[in-house]
Amino acid sequence: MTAQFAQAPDAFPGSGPPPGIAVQGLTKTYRNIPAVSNLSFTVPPGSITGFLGPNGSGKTTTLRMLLGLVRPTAGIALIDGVPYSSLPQPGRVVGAVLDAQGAHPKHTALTHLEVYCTAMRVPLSQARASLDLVGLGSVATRRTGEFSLGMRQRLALATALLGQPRYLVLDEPANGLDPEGMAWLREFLQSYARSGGTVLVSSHILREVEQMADHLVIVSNGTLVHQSSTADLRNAYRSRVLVACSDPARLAAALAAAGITDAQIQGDGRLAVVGADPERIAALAAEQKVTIFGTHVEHVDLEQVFLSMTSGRYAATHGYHQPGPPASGHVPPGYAPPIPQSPQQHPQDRYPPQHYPPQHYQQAGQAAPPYPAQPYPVQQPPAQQYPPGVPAPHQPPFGPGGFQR
Amino acid sequence: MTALLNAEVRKVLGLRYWWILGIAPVVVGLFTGALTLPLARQVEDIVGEGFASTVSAAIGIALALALVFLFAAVFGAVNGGTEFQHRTMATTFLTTRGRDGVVAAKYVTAAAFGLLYCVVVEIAAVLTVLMFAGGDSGPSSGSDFGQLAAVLTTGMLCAALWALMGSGLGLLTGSTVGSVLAISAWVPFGELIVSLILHGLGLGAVADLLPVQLTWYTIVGVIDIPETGDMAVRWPGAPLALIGWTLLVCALGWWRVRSRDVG
Repeated sequence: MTAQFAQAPDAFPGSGPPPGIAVQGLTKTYRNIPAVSNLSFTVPPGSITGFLGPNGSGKTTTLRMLLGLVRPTAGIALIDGVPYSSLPQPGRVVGAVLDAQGAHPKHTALTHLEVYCTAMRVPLSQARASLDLVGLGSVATRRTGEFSLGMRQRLALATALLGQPRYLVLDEPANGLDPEGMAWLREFLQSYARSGGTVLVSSHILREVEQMADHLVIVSNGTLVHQSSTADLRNAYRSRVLVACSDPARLAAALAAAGITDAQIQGDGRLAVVGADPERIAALAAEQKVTIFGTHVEHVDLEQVFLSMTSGRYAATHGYHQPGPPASGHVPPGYAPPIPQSPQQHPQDRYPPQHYPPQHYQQAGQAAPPYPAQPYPVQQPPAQQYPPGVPAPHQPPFGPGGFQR
Repeated sequence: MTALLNAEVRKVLGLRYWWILGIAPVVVGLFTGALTLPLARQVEDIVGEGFASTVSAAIGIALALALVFLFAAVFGAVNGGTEFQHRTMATTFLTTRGRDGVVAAKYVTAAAFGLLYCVVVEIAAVLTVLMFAGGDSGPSSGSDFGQLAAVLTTGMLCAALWALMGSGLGLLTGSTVGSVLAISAWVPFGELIVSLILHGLGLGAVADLLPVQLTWYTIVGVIDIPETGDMAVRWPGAPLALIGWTLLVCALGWWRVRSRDVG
């Protein structure tokens, strides 16, 4: 049987326009070890907000503080303008998926949900409805201890949905889900948000939430490193075209005249253009009689942006190395190569990244001539760094799916 | 609060341990009378008529009650600790307002099941003693009935208190296994060892205030026998002290649940 999942609750009982979730100066310290430090962010109502950070960055602690499970050392987290503990019927306002282990292994799925229906004064029929909603209707009378991790995640989501809440808070809900399950979850949450619900979903993988999140909150080492809409993040790290040409300055002026103002001459003499495709650049160059030797489109992978923002928490060596003293100049890398911060470093070393793949120009068969001398001084790179570019990993398949028994 | 109580009862009834833990005291309650009566009758000619039925009734009910107290406490510990062990406490807290209601519901549920164990076992024990002793046994006067009723009622009070202590311990430690092991060690022999040590140190008065001894002082104190005049702790001091122990453990469990971070 294939269940149909992508059905979110149509209405949110007793809801007006909710003011969303607000986290203000949240701090948690465990025995002098800061887990979360002065973290502030907001989750707009009706949005899907991705809460991103590497493992150990304080995401779970933050969500548990938001839900009143962990007492903050300082700061406050508000839902609908009040702390979670002050919500009159919290289960009907916020549904949370924090732990796939949140069911007694000897309870059946139905018994588990009926317990919480009773606690929330929700009709027992809602238990069966929630199980059907997440595709576990056929295993309602099986003990949860026999469930796979993915099934337990679905059961946790069913528990969260019992009270038809306005908010969903999910901590790494994709853990244990296969690609089909992840696609279903994505569609479900999008449908839920379209119905007026607000979703805060954490993950340590940007790609998991990038396709569905309207907003992104990125944390590292318990502190906020970025907060914006997903569109803003994409715009800030747009693809650029590197153009090797006979007169970069003239081409830059032509581009500016055409409204394409983001063009910078690189240390190697190439012109880096943002906001124009190679064909448009070639056309403008032809008008100005500037010869183009080659172009290269440099795509930016947001996952790499995310990794560069959150890098360096835990250092590890790449691959296996023979025991012995490290080679001269060896630096143990972190999660991702950190962004160089030294002002003395030459811009050419910073932008583009050093280990960017070899360039392959579009004009095949023509040897790339040495770049002409730079008529303009090398410009300083913008504050926002392009991350090290690597080919984008394989995207998980996307589309409706379901749990099959 | 009613909703939370219903939810707690559903949690318990959805599992097996509540009736598995009740089997042992019921079995003992059923058969101790039958086993002790023939032995007591062998010495009845020496001691006096009616001795056998009295002794078998006393031993049978006492043994059954002892097991009821133990298993009521174990039930409470399992009920209190299992949510932490299986990490369902977060889900419970997320579906209710505040933690106090959850803790209160757990305590009420534990006390109720402790009472249930005791009632079932007492009925079984009394019926089998009456059945095996035949027509010449059992309470024959209004006073006897009164004392039997007092013992059984006091037993119910103690069972509820032990269930509460177990629940408080389970919530305090957050560990089912640890709490059950502690109770299983303390009730049968742990307190006896501690008591002997305290007596050896000249602290016998303190030993008399330990919970198991207070329990028996509470039960024996309602029986109208001359020897009760020698009891170290008499009524109503014994039950009050036992209630004090219960309040202490429950308060600690409550405080721990309120203050702990649920990970």
